[in-house]
Amino acid sequence: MENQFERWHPVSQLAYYVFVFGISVFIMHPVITGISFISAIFLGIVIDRKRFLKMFICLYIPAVIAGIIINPLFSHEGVSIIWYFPDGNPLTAESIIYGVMAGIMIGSIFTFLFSFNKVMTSDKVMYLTGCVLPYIALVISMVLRFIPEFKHHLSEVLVARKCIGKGLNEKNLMKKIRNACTVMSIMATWAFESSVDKSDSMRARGYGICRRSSYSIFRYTKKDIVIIAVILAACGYMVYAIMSGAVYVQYYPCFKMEQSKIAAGFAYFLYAAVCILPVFDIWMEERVWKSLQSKI
Amino acid sequence: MEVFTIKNLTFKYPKSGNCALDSVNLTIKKGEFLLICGKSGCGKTTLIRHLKTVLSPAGEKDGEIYYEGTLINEVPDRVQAQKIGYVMQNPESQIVTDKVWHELAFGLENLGFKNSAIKIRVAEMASYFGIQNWFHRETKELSGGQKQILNLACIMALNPDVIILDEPVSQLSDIAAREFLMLLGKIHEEFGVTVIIVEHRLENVFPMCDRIVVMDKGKIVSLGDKQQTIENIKDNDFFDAMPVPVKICAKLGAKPYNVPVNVNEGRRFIEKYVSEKQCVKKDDGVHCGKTVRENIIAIKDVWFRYGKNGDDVLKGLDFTIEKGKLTCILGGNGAGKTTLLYILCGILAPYRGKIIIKGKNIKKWSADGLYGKLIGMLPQNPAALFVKDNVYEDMAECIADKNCVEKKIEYISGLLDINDILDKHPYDLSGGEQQRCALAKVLLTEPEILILDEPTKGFDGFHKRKLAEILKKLLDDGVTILMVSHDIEFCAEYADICALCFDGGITASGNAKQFFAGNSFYTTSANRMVREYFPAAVTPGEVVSLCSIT
Repeated sequence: MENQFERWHPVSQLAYYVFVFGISVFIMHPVITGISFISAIFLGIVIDRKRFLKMFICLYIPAVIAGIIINPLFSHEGVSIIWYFPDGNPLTAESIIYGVMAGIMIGSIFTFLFSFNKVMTSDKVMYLTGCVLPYIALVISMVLRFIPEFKHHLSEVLVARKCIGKGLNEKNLMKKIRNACTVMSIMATWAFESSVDKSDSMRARGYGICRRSSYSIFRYTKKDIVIIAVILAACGYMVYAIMSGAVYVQYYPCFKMEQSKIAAGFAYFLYAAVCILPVFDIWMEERVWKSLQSKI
Repeated sequence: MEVFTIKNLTFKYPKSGNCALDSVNLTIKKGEFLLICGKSGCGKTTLIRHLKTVLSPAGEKDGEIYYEGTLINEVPDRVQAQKIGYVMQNPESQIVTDKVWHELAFGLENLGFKNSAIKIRVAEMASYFGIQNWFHRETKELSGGQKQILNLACIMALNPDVIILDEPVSQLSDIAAREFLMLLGKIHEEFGVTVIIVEHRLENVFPMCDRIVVMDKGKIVSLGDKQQTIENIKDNDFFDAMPVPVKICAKLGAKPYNVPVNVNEGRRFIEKYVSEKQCVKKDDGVHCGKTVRENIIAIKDVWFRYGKNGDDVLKGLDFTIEKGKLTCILGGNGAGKTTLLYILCGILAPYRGKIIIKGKNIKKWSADGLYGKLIGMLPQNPAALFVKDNVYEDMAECIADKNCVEKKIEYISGLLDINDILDKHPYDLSGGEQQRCALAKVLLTEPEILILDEPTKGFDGFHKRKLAEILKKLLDDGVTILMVSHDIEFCAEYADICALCFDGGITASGNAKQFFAGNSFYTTSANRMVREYFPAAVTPGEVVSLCSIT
């Protein structure tokens, strides 16, 4: 079953991911990165709890910990010295903070990527490619059609040959190689032949007589328009906030965060609202279903 | 009003001596259902490919073709793409994209339709053809029958005036073929689309069509409605391909131009015939002497499924195959017939139960001992067997003794009627020709047990009889033959033992004649026609001979 987020229009989904990835990658700010990490975790859990928790524990947490440990080992900048390593280099509070932030940032990108893989299926990627480059999208679609066809025929050939005593499990190596070569050469011929048929079928249906249009089964809804508008607005404000120094952080030589509380607070709120939007949408849907059920 | 007018069309393929088409004259009327038939290689496909410029083969062409009064070459590409639909033989290779919905929209996209227009048309087609349930599926997951229905729907999405179909059901099972043809008939009736279909399996198409063209060696030998055609080709080889009721009734002397063409009409004819001629009713069963049975393969309580979480395909199947007999396994799609064959050959291993070949468990046979000497299998897709550039080399590959290659090939190609195509590339052959060449390859390995998966697929009546002769000869030489088939008529006529595979087991098996005489639905058309009078008669030959006893 698709959830509400997966039913968003691919353009909205793309806008969402571009926004959250962009902010998470380019800004390493304790609050912003924290928001990214937490909402990415929520999204992962909502989309596929079992697999996410497995991935989270086995992959993402070690990545975060690695960031936390590695940075102070190699970076010795910063003014607040806590301790000296045996080789004489200082361990600083700033380098620990930076390491933690870097770890969480990497963790949040990984966590977002998990849901991205689940949500942006091949047909959506193809649709988005098709919006920009329709011919490339057709080629991809044809390749995706061709690969399973090729595999299927290859297995058919191998089985057929095995059954007449020409299988690949010969003991004699030379014979085995020769048999394998024969199969490869006929597969090349087959690929060529089937593409002749395919091009006949394409031309018979009018391929190449005029500029192609590109059809998709995805529908814009009012919700998508709202989502995209919200994301664009948030994006605009975030850029403004960063440029104007409202969302500002300095790690070295000493840790320092922004001054203007209101402008920064609004930026945090806006970012958190967008990040959690899919989770909210899915959660709302569940609420609706539950209330419908309880009415029956 | 004519859709196509073909005037004096002569065509020769490059580097070929004979004319593929020899001064063909034909007018095709608007809204008719035209069947073009003839033995394989008679030029049917060449003829219909000329009806669409982009598909016309290259070669020396003489004569004119008009589409609605305009020379076909002068009809704009756009009109041709939209108004003349073409469905090809192989359901697999004409699908271009990976998703069903994308495939449906493909033609409309090519013509640059707007998204909103495509949406409506695609929705219409999906609903009409019952595709909505697999609309979001990937094309690779569809069955052969579904693929061909999709291909038809894709053509219909363009809203054509004419649909041309080149043996659309030759690669489908009997049931899928019937479903496809019913859909085609429905389209023809409800939209008045002109249908031009090439086919040599006439059983199902023949009763549906308005006019029939019979071709032979590039010439039209008969043109007319059903009755006219029956009259015209009475003495031709090709008469064998006619539906069973036609064959029986023509032999029993039905009045010319009034021959029954389907089972229902045939029953009425027989009823009248029997009462007029006062035939002796014979309803005693078939007797067959008990002979000593020697089993060559025993299948014991075999269970099989694809993958751990899949459904069981075979559920405790027990069966024995007798030495030196022709055993046929019948059954619907997905009954597990092909799976059973793969298990018998050791390609797939059951998770419970065992297979004993010649008294030895299949696991104990070495691959060298088993394949190519003891067992030879003709796969469902004959093209999978070809690996060389021409048929001759391909066959030579299968001969172990290199000293008598020429002699053996000469013998086998004479037997299978493939002398003329030895130098051709296997992929250039028609479906029936490929089937025969693949069979030749398997026979050349001289197996003791011959396993055939749908051997009559793509065969016309003439070649079916030829195949039966060959099988007979092999049986006389002591070869055991196991065959999986949908072709009830063929099995009834030639098999020794028939078995019905259903729901993962063998539900019924027995002597072929008894098997069919005992069934009431799953039986031959000949038996369905006469079962009230001669319940034991299952083949046209038997019916004719029983009716002649007065």
